[in-house]
Amino acid sequence: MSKKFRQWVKRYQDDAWSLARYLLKDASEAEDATQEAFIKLWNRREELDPERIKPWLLKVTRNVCLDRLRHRRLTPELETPEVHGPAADAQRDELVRWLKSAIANLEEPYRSLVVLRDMQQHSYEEVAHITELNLSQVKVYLHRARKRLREQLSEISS
Amino acid sequence: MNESPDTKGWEDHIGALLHGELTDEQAMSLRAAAEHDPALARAIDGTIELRQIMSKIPAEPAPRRLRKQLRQIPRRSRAADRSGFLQLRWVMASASAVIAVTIAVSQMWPQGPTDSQITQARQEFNLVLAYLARANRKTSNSIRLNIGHGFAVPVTKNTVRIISNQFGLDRE
Repeated sequence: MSKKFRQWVKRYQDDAWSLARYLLKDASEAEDATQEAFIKLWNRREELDPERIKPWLLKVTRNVCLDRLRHRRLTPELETPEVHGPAADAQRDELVRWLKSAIANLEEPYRSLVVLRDMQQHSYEEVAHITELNLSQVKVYLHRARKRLREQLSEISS
Repeated sequence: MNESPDTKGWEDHIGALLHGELTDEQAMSLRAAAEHDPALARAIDGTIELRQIMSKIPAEPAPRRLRKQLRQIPRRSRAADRSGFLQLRWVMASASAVIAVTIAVSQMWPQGPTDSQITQARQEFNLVLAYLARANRKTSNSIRLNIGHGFAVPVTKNTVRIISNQFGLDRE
């Protein structure tokens, strides 16, 4: 089973980390949250449907992040950092850099929806499962999020 | 962005376009409307462009340290389970020893112990406590070896303290 777990780690670590990174805007906290989610996966590994590991893991990752954000409200909000990653090619592109920052500044659930659907390309059904929203809410909120980004993009490019 | 009132009316269609839910007829009417409404055309282009850019942003690779920690979860979890079992075994053995000595002492002196017997019993108790302290050290080392320093506060340490307080042994 630990071999299977290592495969899950290899396959899903980047998506889970990336989601946590966008939600928490803090690298070390995102590492902790990702690790917490994977520990939960290890503890529940026997009960889970192997076909549904990824949505389950991302749902747990998101919930762990939201819990941390709730606790963080008691303390001053961290300054929004520019979201840096080792994806050097993308970072060179000014637009991508701006977009990452704009996504990181969206509120919940818009931020999760954009990351899960538009960046990680999950199906609407999976996104609904992960975010615990219904399908029509996912579509409506996604539309609002895209519209907001589009308007910001239009402002900076005009 | 300067949206015309008409563009706002088309927002649902733009959303549906991205969701792949527009019928051919709706798509055609949206296209026709965009030809006469530059703001709507820009909104559609902007939305599609945005979606394309976002789909090309690569997922950030997890940092090397995190990857390593994630790979170690099964081993660390097993080590924690093993340490828990070892710790329980030592505590059980120590507790049994204490009970055995207590029973032996009470059976040896049914009429009440003399001073010298009490002294001897205390010495034997000290021996048991030394055994518990050894168990404590061994458990602590085992936990430290497997998990790390933060978890090395074994139950046996408390057991020694409680027993010592009970019999006033630490005051001698």
